Amino acid sequence: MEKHDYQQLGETIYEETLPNGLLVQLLPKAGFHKTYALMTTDFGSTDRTFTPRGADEAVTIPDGVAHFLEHKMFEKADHDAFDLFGQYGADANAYTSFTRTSYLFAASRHLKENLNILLDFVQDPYFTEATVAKEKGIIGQEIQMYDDDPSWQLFMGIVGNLYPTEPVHIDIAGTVDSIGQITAEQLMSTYQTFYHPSNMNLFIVGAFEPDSVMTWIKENQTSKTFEQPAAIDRTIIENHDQTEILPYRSRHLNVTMPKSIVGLRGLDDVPSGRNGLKYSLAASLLLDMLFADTSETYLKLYDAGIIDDSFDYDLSLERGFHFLTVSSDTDDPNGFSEAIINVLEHVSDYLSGQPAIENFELVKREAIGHHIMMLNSVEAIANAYEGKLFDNANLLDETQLLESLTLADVQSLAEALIRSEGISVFDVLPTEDTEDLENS
Amino acid sequence: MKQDLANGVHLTVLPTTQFKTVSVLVSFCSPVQLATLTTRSLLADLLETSSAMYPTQTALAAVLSNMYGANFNTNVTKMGNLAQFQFALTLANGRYLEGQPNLLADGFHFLNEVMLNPLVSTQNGITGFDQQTFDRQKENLAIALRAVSDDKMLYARLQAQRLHFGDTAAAYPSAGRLVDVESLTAQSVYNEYRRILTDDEVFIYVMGDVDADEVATLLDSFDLTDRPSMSRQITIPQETPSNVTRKVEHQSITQAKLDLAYNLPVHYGDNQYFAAQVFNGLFGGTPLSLLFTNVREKKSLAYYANSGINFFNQTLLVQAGIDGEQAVTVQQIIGEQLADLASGKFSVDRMSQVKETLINQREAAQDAPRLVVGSELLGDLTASPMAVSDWIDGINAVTAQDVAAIAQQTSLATSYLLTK
Repeated sequence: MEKHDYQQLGETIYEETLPNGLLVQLLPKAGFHKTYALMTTDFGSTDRTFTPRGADEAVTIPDGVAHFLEHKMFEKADHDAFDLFGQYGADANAYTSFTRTSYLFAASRHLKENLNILLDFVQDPYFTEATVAKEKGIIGQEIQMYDDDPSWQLFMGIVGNLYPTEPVHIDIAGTVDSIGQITAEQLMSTYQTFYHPSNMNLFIVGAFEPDSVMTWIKENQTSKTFEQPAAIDRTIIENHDQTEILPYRSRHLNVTMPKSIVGLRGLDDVPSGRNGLKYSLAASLLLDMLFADTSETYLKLYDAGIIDDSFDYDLSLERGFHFLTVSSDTDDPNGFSEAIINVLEHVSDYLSGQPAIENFELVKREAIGHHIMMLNSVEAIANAYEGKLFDNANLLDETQLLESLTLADVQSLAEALIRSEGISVFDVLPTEDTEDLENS
Repeated sequence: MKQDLANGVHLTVLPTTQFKTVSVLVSFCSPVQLATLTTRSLLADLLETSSAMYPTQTALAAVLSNMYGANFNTNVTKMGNLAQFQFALTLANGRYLEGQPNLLADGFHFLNEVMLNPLVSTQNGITGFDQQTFDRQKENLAIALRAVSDDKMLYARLQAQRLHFGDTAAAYPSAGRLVDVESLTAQSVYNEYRRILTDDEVFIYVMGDVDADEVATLLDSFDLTDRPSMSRQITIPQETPSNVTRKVEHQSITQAKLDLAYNLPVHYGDNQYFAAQVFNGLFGGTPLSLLFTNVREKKSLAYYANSGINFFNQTLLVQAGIDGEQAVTVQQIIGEQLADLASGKFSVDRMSQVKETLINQREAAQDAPRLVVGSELLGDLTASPMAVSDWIDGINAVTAQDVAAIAQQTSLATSYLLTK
């Protein structure tokens, strides 16, 4: 077990890769009562074409398998893993993103028992046609709920504009049609390909003694047999075909005020490893410089009544894609998107001269402070971990890397990332009958 | 450490090295009034975004960014008969930053500015908030209150609440009522501000790796003067309802929302309080609950189905996202779950698991600064502080009979369905 001290931050992390390939990271928090354990596989909704373990040819699975698998992992022949956690009062959950699936629990008691439950239910697949059929109803309801969520529709709308032919444009949960095609056999073959320990990591933060916890994990893992680690052949196309980007679409939904989102698809290559994390942090600082509530753009748009407190911006950077979004509820969707695009197209004006130097120092200082604050949260520390994507960098590494960033880093990042041909707009507009809603 | 800075101005300092932040909460408390609900909501928005020293949102945001991204917000909240107007500030502890800046003094200086020197102007001897800033925030509040109908889960809950509590403050969210916004003026909101500042009882909490004397010295300049202590009669009692108020509303939505309000005459901290917590955990308050396992999982009738108790309104609220065509069945099955609890038809194992869950949650809450401070405040307001260990003992002592007794007192008063 390797020990890494982060003196300035007052934290220590312990790390070991087990013989079966599972990477374990432990971060004990002095004075805390709760422990949060997060077990993640490097597999998400965009991994739909790959060569299954032991097969010769690539297959394409229905959209929504990663999320479906996540739901079904909890159910076993004679019990449900939720109930096992429940016996100890632990709070268990799971989530699926475009490129990751994570299983987690939080508990203040019975850490050893809860850890065993986590490791055992994730490493013991059980799927039957009957249980798969029943799950289709539950997930169908979940998909419907997202249909009614204007913010999610806005987000998926812009992703669809930016990536019209790539898996990322499809809802993580799939569609009612696509999940209808899922079979137990597909789930098992997908599981065997992506849930090998060598494609997974376990990140634990909170109230524990690291030596004991590592011993418990090893006891659990050595009691099981796993196949040899094997490289996963998945079809990742880092596609830079800008011509496919749809410049504008809109959709009418049951909302009182229009919502507008501007997206920018990264058409450049993100460096690998820690340099990728540096890229990601520089891109976040760039967005802060342009659009944070300390920026001139924010004040101008706010005072003009074009944006309100719903204004938001984000960087999505995962395996195989990266894009920026800037969104707001607005009475003037055209005015909003034009203003945002104008800033993006004149980005160099915002990155030169004395004001830019001061702005950079301000947003960097804020970002560092926020990282310190995140260290209060066991969930935030574990959830920030991106595994292989950034060469196993954790939140502490990230905080240190942030300290080293310069305005020049942001300038060169902006030059590579911000390109007019990557920009698109999506609006969610009120349906006609929503006038009645306002007065109800 | 607790001390009174003046009559009705209470300071609690909670020194700890557990967190890498310093949390400050200042809560002004007075009896809730429907007439000032919206006034105070707009006031919170004004004070959160401007002050004489930091006249624009950008200027205010910049001073926070400069303090290493300090978090500042104002908040209005209700607890039964009690209205609270809160200022909250969270600072990174400078010792973890390069150069180890002392952010505590800067933080209190900032708080002093935003609390005591608002962005106002005086014309013809009448003082009010700066008109332009006021107009912008007023419009934003109206927009936010209108946008509530976009969030169907929230909208349904608020409609149920309105139906349940009639025309009282409890019927409306702390954010206020759209219908009241128009009549607010820069002067009327300023008058409410002055009233809060001089009349409301004040509770101040500072938690982190801090020195209590330093904190008290920093608060000297706030000059909060003597004021009366308010009534501790916080609970709004609910009688057993004579009949069920029902409403069905139609909108073009995919997933229907069913919200049910029950009266539950248990007081916070009394001898049935712990049993009510365990009852709620079994009924719909945890993933082990009957609503979650039977309604959602076993019968696939709902995407979400949960319950929560507001002890200060003596109300239990069930919220469910369902297939609209199944509404009658769902409501019937929810009723059956409650009846089973009332007649003691539930697993004792399940009950002990719920207890474990509640205990885990209570212990885990000690790791969230906001919850630790909130718990201190609750103890002070109710004058019945509960140590975590006493709380755990109380939960462990609950029997199946105790739970059944609570279920028997839980009576449906309001049913609201939003469907297509």
